[in-house]
Amino acid sequence: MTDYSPELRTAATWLRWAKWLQVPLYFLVLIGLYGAFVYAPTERVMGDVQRIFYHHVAAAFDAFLAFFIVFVAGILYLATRKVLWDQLAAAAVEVGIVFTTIVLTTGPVWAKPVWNTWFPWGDPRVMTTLVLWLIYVAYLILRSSLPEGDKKYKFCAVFGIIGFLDVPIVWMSIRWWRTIHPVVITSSGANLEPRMLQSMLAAILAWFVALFVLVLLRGAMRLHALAVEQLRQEILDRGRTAA
Amino acid sequence: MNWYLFFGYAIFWTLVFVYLVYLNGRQRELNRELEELRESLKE
Repeated sequence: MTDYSPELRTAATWLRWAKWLQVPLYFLVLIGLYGAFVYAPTERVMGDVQRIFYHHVAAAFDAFLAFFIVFVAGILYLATRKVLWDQLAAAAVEVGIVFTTIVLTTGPVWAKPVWNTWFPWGDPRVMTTLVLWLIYVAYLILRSSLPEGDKKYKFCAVFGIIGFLDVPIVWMSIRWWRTIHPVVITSSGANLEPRMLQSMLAAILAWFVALFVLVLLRGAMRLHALAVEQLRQEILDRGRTAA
Repeated sequence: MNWYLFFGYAIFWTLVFVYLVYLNGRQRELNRELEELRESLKE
């Protein structure tokens, strides 16, 4: 029988961290919004619609970071076989999908007035991002169809690690192939007006903190759910023994 | 008012909000299950 008490202690720590991170989170989100709507100047060609950029890019960075957490947690699960790493990976996949969905839905709203198309099918950045979303949706579908246990956790860890290979491809897609996506961050720095760059960094920082809060909350919930399931099983077993 | 900008941010916040509602629902479900288990332990 699995003893989940160390995991429950970890869940309590994660909840405590999430609670503390919520304090700076609200201020950072407000600063991020101020940066995008007030501080950053209006882009000369695209106009106000370009202000979607700041939080669209921040959501993309968040998705990358979430899938990096999946990658690291997968390796740590395979190395230690501790269930908390599996649950952290599953939580990060969920949050990563939320942010990838944000990227894939805010992008078209920006693309329509600028590129005159809602969804540029065939654009390498868009297509590789869509593949990234599909990979991790498949991860969740497969995960929900497998019975609990080490076999499932090992399979998910390997799936999460291999799935992460698409992240560097998404990042490099605008450099490797012909695309209508602009290359904003180059090896020599960011091709942005200083106030635009500061607004983008503020939005990225705000949503990074939001990502950690969401992953820690969801991870703690998953650990609690596992413990509840184990308790239910114990009660059932006791009932059967008594009968 | 730039409607594209409005819809871009509306989608962003709606998705974040929907996920928070989902998390809240899961937490409630978990609390209910825990309560049921407590009750069955009392019996």
